[in-house]
Amino acid sequence: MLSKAKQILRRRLEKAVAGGEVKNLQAPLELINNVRKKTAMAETFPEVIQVLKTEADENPEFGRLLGLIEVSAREATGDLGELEPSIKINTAKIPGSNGTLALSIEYNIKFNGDRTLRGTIAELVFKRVYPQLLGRLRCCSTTELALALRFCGEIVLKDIAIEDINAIILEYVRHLNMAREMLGLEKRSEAVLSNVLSSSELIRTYLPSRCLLCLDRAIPSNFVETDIKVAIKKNDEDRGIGYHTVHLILCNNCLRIAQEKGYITTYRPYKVIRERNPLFYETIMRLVRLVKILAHYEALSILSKIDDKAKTFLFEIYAWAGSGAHPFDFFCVDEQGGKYLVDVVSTRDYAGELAPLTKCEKEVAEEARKLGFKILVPVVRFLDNWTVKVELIEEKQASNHPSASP
Amino acid sequence: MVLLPEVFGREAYLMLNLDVGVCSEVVGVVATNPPWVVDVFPGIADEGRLPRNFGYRKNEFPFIYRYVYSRFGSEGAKCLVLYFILYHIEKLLRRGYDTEVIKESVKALVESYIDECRIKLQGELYDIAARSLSQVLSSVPERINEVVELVEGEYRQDPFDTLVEASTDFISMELHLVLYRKGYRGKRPFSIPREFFQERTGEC
Repeated sequence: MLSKAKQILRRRLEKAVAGGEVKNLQAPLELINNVRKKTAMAETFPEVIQVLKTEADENPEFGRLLGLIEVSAREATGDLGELEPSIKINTAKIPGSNGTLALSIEYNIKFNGDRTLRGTIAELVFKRVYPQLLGRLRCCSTTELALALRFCGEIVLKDIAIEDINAIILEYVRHLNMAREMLGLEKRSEAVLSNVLSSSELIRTYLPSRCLLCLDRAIPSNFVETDIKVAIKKNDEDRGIGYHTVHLILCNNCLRIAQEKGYITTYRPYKVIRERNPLFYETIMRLVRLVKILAHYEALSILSKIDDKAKTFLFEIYAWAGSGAHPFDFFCVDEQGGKYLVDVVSTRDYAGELAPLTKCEKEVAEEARKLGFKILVPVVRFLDNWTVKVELIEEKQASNHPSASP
Repeated sequence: MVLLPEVFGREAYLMLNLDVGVCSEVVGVVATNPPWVVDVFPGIADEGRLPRNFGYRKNEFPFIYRYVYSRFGSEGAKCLVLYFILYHIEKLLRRGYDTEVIKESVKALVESYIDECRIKLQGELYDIAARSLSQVLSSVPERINEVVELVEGEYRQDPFDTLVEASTDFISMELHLVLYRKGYRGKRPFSIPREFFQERTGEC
């Protein structure tokens, strides 16, 4: 496609020179070189666009050249018709399916797959193999880190010690049964619940989306609202009486029972009034806090190994970042308190091009190094027959990261 | 590469006091008769040869450097670096770049080779590579004008082709825009910067 567009451009240039529209070829070449130098200095794409616009306005010669390029590109793609899709969809019937329409998709992850997909696979591969590469490291993804910092920021920043997971689970079960007892509900078996929670990280992760008191899943038919805001009245001597709000998820049944017992108001917004039910209030608050800690236990326990300055730095970077926009892929610590930011890169062969750190990652890396972080770059190479080769590189300066040039 | 490696850049090799005989062999290995994959990557079960000019890209460079050094010694390794520099200069000249940019680009190329060697080569071999690359880095930019003139003198390109090649990035950008609007995302998916899309189409 590119070579076709180039041939067309060449023909058009020849015509333009023959017709006297373009006097000589050296002048446009110099203009292109000027634009290249200016755009090389431009830091963002809008700046590049601005340079092009300004150059085209100031130099009609350059504007004409851009016009010729635009027309050539259109002409080169003009007879494309139906374009070959990147995913082949086969609508043929599958034998034995009694004429039912069945679709199959042929998709080569290595070649058709987009970079994001390969990147995600590479991250999963790294997660799987890092204990073999660096057994002493403990890692969590930066997504988990961001959630932990966002929802448990005060635990991290106030340097509250994170106990052993089993101790936290026991405390959680104790408080859960206390709250259930207040509502007149049957106690949950301490042994069974502890066993399930200590063995399944997945269940711990999903705890915040379950009913706080009975641990049922939040199914719309079972919940008045999947997220009930409970305002808790507090006595604040300086500011008079006020409310603060915590987000609780309660199922219909638990909400009704709590209202019947007078722990939660029957009118909206639902409230737990501390003065009326101090014990219920304390228990609920403690339960909410323990659920948060359990859900983000891995990230919190890793964060507890690093110094306060590093914690504050990570909080500033990750706590309020948008979803999916986190610099680096993993955060790790070692037994000696060493801390690492990890950027997993992938390539389709044994010596392919590797993506460089993003501008944001370079900035973060520079600042992180000052605080003693090390930057690790695992390279995941997708080879034949489902084989991957993972190499680990420590990057000491931003410029050392494998970049796209030449 | 269009030019014959035995001839290409002969003067440049002489200019840097390199053994033209060794350089000719090295260039032959890299440009016309590339090594077997298994010779450069012993752990990989591949019966084919490497592509021509394998090693020019910076992440490939340490592998071919190690191979050439083991076969031709430090003289051969220097020839390899100079060959890639000449190849780089030729590519840039064909795309209409001026000497000032070429000088910076050659510097960046050699620096990127040093960085890659630091990551991928260990111990003594890295020291040797770093030393010889640093030598090249100090000697070539000083004489870049002469080297560029030499390369320029060894190939002929129609001025129309130079202008077309110089426009490659702009053509590529336009093509991506047209293809994107036709709904094509490609076997190797690409994206269009939003600002460019809005600027050219007026659409959001």
